[in-house]
Amino acid sequence: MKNKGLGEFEELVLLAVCILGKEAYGISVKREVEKHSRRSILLGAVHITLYRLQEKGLLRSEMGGNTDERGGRRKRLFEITESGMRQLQAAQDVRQKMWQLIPQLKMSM
Amino acid sequence: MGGVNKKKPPAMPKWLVFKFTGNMLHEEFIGDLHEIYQDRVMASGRFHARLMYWIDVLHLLIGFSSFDLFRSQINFTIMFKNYFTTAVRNTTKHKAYSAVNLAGLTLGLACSMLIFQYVTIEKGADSFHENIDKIYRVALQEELNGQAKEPFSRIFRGVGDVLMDEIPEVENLTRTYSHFFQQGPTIGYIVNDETRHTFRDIRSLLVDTTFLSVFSFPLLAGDPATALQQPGAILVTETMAQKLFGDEDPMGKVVHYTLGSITNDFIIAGILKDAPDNSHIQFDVVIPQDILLSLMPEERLSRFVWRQRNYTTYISVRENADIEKMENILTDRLNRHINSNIDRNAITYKAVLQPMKSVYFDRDTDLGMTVGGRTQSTYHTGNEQIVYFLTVIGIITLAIAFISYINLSTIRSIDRAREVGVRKVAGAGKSTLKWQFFFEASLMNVIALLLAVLLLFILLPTINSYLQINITPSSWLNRSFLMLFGGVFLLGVALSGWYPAFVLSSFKPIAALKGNNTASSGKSTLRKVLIVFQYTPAIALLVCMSVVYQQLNFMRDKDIGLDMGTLITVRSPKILPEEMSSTAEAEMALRNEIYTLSSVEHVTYAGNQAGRGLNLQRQFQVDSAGQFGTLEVLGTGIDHEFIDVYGLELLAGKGFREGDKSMRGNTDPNWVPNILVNETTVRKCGFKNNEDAIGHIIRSQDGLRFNIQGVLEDFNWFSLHQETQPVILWYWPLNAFLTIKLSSSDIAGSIAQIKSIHNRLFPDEVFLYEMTDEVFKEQYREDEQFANLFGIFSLVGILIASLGLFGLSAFTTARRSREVGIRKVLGASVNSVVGLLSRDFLFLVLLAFLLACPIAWFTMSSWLDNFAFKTELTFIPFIAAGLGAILVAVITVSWKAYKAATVNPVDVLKNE
Repeated sequence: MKNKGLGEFEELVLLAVCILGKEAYGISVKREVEKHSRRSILLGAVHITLYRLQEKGLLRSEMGGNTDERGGRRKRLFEITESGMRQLQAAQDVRQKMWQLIPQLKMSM
Repeated sequence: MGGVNKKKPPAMPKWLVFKFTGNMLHEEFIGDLHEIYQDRVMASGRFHARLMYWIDVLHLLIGFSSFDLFRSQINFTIMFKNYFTTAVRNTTKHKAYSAVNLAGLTLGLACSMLIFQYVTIEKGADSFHENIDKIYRVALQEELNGQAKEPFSRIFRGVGDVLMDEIPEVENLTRTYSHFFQQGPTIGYIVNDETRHTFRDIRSLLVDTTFLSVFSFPLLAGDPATALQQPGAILVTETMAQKLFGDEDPMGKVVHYTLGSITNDFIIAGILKDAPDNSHIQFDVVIPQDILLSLMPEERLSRFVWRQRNYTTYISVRENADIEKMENILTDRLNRHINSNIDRNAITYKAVLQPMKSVYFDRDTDLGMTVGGRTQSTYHTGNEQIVYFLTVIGIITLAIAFISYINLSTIRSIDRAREVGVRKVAGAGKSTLKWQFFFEASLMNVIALLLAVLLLFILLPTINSYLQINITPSSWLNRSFLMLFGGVFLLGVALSGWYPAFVLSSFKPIAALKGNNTASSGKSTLRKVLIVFQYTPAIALLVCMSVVYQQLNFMRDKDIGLDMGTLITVRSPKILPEEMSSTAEAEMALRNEIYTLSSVEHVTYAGNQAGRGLNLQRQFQVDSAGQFGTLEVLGTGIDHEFIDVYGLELLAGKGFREGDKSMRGNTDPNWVPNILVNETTVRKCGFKNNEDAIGHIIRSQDGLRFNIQGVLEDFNWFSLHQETQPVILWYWPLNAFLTIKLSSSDIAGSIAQIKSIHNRLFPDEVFLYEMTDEVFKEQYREDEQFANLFGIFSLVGILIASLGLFGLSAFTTARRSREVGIRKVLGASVNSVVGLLSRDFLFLVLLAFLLACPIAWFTMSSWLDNFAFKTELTFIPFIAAGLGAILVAVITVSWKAYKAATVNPVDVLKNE
């Protein structure tokens, strides 16, 4: 169960959370993913994924401060966990290994 | 104003979030949504932001509802989920029933959406002018012996001067001059030595320089404040610019423009956005009219200012202006000016200020002469009666659909009695159950609405081209449409949801569980009433449809005195080759060449063609039997072959001969031109008979005199909406419209021959021809459109009603299957069983028919009053529609009944 692996979108969201450091919440993650993947994403998709990742134990969260532009609402800030980092690393490793096994690529290297 | 308020996201989805998500989630969701909403308002506007807000909320709710950990555990949510499941199960369990129900609703919604769309576009006519509430059109009414006649809005140029100089409440004023019955204007652009783009009969508006400050026609290029001030400026619409210049930048280009005696080069000083279809004022080009006056000889000018009615005058008034007072002052000043400029007998004028808002629907003024020539006229008018009829039809269609729904859902109550019983036993209260059924109804309605939108989206292009209207999906976002349709829809949902909910929730649990369907028997009266309610308007619509089509056929088939079967009309050439010195020479050459063709029987030059107006429109005074009266007479110049081409019969006197003296170039003020008149003129002038009229002189209000030389049988130059007008025809051998009577049946071939002659003679000219009868029939376009709308909606009405009836009869029949079994065992025949099962329903349809007849009769007799010539209202359409409706009902009902009657009784009885 633990090594179920990450979905593509989950991986993007996790990476975005890592990039954003202390400032990762719904909208900032959405913007980050949109910026890098150049596709438009629904807010709900980001939220659901964030929560699913938290449920899997790859993210943890706490409520942050409020700002005016949010109509005085607070935001939930997400942060990657140890096991999240491991999963991300594992996913990266798998890809790296497989890349190296592509014959043409090897020849050109 | 309201800037802060506008930034607030919509409240309703926010409420949904509160209701359906757990406490822990509100804070961050709503915060996020709020933040992104602000961004979107900035980036792409409020509408987009609101739409996305909704989408996001729904997405969040749906997303999280599949997510166990965060599924809200509030009772409310759980119950809704249960309602949803129940609704889905019920829908899929009775597929046929659900399909019938949904189809009816969808059709009804789609139709009414379409109608309301059309209605809002028409009703919103001219509302794009920012100052619409302050703008008035000035019209005059003639008062003769104390009696006021219909107001007309083509008035003297001088009226505008009086308004501007003497009435301080007038803030701004603009006049438009437009050609009516003469050859339309031409615009041309010389691309290079070889190619020139020339367009004829464009809609051109000659305006005061204040035009763009009174009206809000947006400019795509150029400065609205100065564009019309520049000397020699012309403004063109984007479509016209595209046609003239293609992809080149139009600004500053020089075009050649011709209208009557004006022919000049103009510089493009601005590009106008095309006027929307529902704008009263229409144009391809707009030109400051100073040019018109500067080219006019001095002696014509004074006559022009106070004698010719060529101008439409619009004013915008200051705040709190007293319109009635203004009208009185203007009336007073006006008559003084008119009396000092020209003498008139016993005629005074009364000024009327018509609010711009109502101008679009004002068909009584003589601008109404442009009826039918809608595509070519610089003024559009709508038909308020049609809009009113359609609104009623839209509501009726929707009502039929909702009644169907109510009927079908209550009949289903019998099946669902057990479910209600169980729910009640388990502790559900009445209000909880009401909520459940209400929820179900709304769900059904929303699905139907989505399907209707989808259906319209797919069918819109077809519908548009069939009905010749222009509705785009983007106009669905029109505010007043959303309000009108949304209002009616929500009301419908509320009613159709509330009633079944009320019935279903009132079942007694014990009775329901025992299987006594006490509730259903008591309610059947109401069901019957509803069927009648549904069929009455449906049948009434059918009757109306048949009458409308009957009138349309009547108008098409009626002999109007003109024989237009094989006539084609060609415009006389404007752009002449170098070797020809005058238009007259060119016109002569064209006629003579065309005459040599064997397929041509007769050729005539006239001032216009049938259905397109006549050049002269004047008040005539009649002095016979010692009585004075004024008579509005139409007239045009013709040549000696006119009556042969149009197949007219000369009843008295003599016709014109080639070489008769013509008014063209006449300088003798004492010469009285000869004319031909029609019988109506003779009658209205008060002559005893046709022979009596010959040799008499009639005089127009502004001093023209004519001698009656011959009398023609009556003919209708215009559509049968109008009475046969008095017409006078004078001799004018060469003219703008060349109408050709073909003897050959090969019309296409003949046209090709004529075209080749035309193009050989006038290589630079565009060959334009029209089938005369098609031009004439164009006047009935609006009626056809109306008939087609009526046709579609009455058929849909009857279809929805039948779907409802079908569903209903299917269920009752199923209910009574055991009874049928027993009857058959006891020896009943199939026929008697079918009769038994259908009788009730057919009786109701018959009753509906009887109710529908007077309604339809009343409606149609008032509709027919629009036509001067109308078909008789006979009982045939009533019988036909009634029989049609009953036949459909018989088929609908007896189909299921027959099935039930032919089933082997063992199959239905063995289950007991």
